[in-house]
Amino acid sequence: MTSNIPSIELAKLIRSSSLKMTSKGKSSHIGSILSCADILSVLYSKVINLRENEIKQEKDHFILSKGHSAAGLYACLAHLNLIDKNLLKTHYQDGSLLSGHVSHKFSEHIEVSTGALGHGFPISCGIAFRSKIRGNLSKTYCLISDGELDEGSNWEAFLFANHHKLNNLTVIVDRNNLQSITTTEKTLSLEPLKEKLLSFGLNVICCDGHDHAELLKAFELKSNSAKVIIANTIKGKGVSFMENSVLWHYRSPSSEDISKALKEIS
Amino acid sequence: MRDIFVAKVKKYLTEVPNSFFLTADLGFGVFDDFPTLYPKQFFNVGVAEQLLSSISCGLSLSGDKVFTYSIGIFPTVRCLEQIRNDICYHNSNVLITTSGAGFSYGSLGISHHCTEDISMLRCIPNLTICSPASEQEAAICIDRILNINTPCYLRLDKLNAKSFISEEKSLYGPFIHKSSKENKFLLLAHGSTVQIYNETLELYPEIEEKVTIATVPFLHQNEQLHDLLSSYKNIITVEEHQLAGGFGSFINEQMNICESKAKLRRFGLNHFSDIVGSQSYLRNLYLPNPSDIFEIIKTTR
Repeated sequence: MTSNIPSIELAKLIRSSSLKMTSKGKSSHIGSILSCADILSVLYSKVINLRENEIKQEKDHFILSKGHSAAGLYACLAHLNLIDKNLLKTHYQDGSLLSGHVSHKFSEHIEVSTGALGHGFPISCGIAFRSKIRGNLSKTYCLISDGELDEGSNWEAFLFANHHKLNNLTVIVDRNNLQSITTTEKTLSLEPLKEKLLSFGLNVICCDGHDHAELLKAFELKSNSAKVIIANTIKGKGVSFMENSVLWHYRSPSSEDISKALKEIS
Repeated sequence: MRDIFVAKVKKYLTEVPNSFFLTADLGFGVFDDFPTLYPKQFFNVGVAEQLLSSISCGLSLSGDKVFTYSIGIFPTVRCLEQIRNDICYHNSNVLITTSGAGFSYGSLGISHHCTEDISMLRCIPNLTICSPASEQEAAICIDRILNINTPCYLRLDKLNAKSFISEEKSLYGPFIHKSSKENKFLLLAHGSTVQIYNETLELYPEIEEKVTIATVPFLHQNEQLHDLLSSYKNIITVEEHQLAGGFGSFINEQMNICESKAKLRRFGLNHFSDIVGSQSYLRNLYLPNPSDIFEIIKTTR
């Protein structure tokens, strides 16, 4: 809705810029960023309405609850010309506002800072609840990680989202099955995740989190209750030696890694 | 004090329909008519203080005022990170209120003793902390706090001090309850512990000319507070809160900033209370009583 860049192209730009940013800044979380690059690109190129209009009264809202994927969001906004592309060079650098975890301090297009897990989704509930009470048609989208579901605050929010039938709220779970040390199932088992969420009364849709057509279909599906999209993803997606490897949760790519990775992305 | 708070909030919710009031399942018998009066403003989010705080941040992102309410340390310490990261970092228009400061719920045990909250919250940027001492002070402070559109924390005691403000030194305090001609002793309180000083004067009227009694309801640095702290030789603080990082620590810091030469004696807690009891009982047990205050004044040259 906001861009003429095809979502596939935007996803490539998010991946390549994020690789460069995390390498230059020697920052972590490239695996998590690559995991959600397709979700961000479909959301921002085809779903989210970033401008107020007469019908919606307010713009849509996007909250990145998995704040450690900040570089991906910054890159996405930059390639949509919503923030200055030159700012990307400052990511993680001394004196920069582009922190490793997402910050709302430099752009009106980022409304909430996160980083501690389990905050973004409950805040999103507040935003969506207000929209619903006020009767405006804006929608709220919140991207969370699967490991983040260990945080109890999210389950308070699931109860709330169902109780108030927040059908203007969509939560996307980046289900890459890996968290910082090992798999989600070895850490604090989430499965059967779909059934758990269904039992909360939520509308749960599973899809391939790298298939843009499937993602778009999931986003466009009408719902009477709060919607949860379990987007099955691969951590490190797009770079063969990073895929499904927990190593790239924290490791930053070297210049040699970057050369190989950018070739694969392009 | 809670009744005054409820009356003020009702007026506000009526006059400002874009505001919200959230409770974390507390206030039985207090907010009974709120769901009917304010169906689009009053919500019980359940026993979920983390949710309470984060939702208030989301609701207020567009600037609407949000009240959050619970008792004891539940709306603060339970969800400290949500207050820091969500409410305060986003400088949200949220007023957090606890009914049950200090030992207000003393008989219920340490889970309900609200005696560490100030220390934990005082260092968070953007947050204004307020503890009124009496119904009169609550009415003044709540009016002022309702005009602050950034994060605030209101602590309501169950006990009410019986003294009255005779002079407001600044918008946010200090408030003078009793002034003296001699600038020998400044007795300071944050909340209803000022009543200990009032009772001291009632029992020992001979010290009346030596002591000034003042409350500092807002932990807010200001010139008038500095002027007061610089004008006395001896300062006493009494708080129903841990000494570490509490009201006395705030005063100590302010004295350092304004280079006050006064001798400061701080009274408060330095341990949990395994013993339970009414607020009056525990206050008498752990804080100086009027004869202790009198003794200090009598023996200090």
